[in-house]
Amino acid sequence: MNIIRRELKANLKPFVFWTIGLFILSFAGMTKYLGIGAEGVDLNAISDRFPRVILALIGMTDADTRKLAGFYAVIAYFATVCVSLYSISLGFNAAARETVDKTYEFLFTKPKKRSRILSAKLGAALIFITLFNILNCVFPLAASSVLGYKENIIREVALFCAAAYLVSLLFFSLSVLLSVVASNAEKGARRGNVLFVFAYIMGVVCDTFENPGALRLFSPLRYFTSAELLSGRFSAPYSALCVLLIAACTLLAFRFFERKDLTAV
Amino acid sequence: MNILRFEIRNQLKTAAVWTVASVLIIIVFMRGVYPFFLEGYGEIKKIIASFPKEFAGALGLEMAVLFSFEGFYGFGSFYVFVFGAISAASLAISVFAREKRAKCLDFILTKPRSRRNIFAVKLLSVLLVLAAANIVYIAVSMLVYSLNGGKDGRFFLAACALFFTQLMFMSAGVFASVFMKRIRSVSGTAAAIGFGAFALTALSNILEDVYPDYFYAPLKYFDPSKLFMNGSFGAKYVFCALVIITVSLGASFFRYTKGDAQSV
Repeated sequence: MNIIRRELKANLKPFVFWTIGLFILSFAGMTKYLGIGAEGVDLNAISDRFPRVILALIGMTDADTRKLAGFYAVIAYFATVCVSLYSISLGFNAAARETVDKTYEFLFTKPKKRSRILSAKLGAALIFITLFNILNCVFPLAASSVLGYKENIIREVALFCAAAYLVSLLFFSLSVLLSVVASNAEKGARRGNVLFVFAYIMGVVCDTFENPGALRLFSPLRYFTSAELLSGRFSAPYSALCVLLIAACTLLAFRFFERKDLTAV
Repeated sequence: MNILRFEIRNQLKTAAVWTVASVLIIIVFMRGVYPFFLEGYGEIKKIIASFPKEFAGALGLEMAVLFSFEGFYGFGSFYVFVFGAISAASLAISVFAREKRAKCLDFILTKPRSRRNIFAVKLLSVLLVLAAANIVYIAVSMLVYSLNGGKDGRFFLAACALFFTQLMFMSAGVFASVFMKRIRSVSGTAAAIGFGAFALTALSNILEDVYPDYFYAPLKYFDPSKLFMNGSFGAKYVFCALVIITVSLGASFFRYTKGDAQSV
């Protein structure tokens, strides 16, 4: 319990900063919704003519921004990026903070198994990720009601947020694994961030094609696409894949952590 | 000389990767994507022509700029800027927070060198690496531009915009490393700075109808599209950038030379 409490306290400040970022993104994004367009001016007609690559870069393929739900899909994509980046930093912190702060001798000589310590740290991080994802769900709904939009998007928001939750947990477990395996902490952090950039670029590449096929496997950001979520489908195979990968990464992380040589940097 | 050599050698590999990445982005954008982009322009012009007049004028001009080679370079630059901002910040943090992270600040500060000298040499090493990377970037940009038959003299300035933006984020990185109590991870801190700047830019794009000024979005200070549309980046933004650089570097210099060195 003590470890969880300490972890919760240590992670509180970054949580507040990331929440502010997410808040700005959701609220400011939702104000931009124009609806069908004033005075017969349909800006979407222009963006429809843009090549897919450009739309892929701004996360707008397959989303009909004339409808509130489609517009929300674009924001949800950036929110997923935000949630994933936050999860990666939490994963790194859970696995490597004691090494970086050079306090590992203090903690790991306590009469607690390493696996107990790691699970306490992961548990604390999980609480923050869950909270963050709940906020990710609440902000757009609040924004939509504050701004007085008539369309009901509760179902879409719920689906997109569930997808974001799975994806962020995947990035979290990957980041934990990479940080545990890396010989020094900075290497682990760098690999986690590089992995994310790779996933982002692969996501853009996926969107460039009408039918990306197996390419989707390489980009967790595309396991759940806007087109599918908007039509109310929540891909079962990809959810299963997510859960499987999360379980595998976490298990491996525990195994490696048990045997890891904890040394100064 | 020792510090300079050490820091540059340590940054060389990362800097090379960043340079190759940013050059690749710009080549893919300008040689790969732009031709496709241009294909749709005819139809878009038709759509704009069907809009009400007061609307079509401004929008048509905006689209004309976006579809020109220079304007599209501005669009693609934004992505290079995000990468460049993160790389400049991470470069600065890794050089300036090295001793703090390794908890050996006393090691370097007890050498027979003034603290000013250490600060200056570290700054010089970051500047040299950034300058080298940008010379490559500018050269490739100019090459791509001339291959496309471009003649606008302002393009050189637009290609330099990355360097100016990076100078700001380098200063922010120096500031963070000197003033933050702990830097747990170089890439994590740099990514947070980059994502923050990205979110602010998104915010300014959304608010531009209400508040046209974007003082809070440093990634847009040196927007090449603005240069081609208005003829300059805008004096007030250049001034803002100068303020950011001098204030953060000045404050960091003062703190580094006068502050207490933390013991472990």
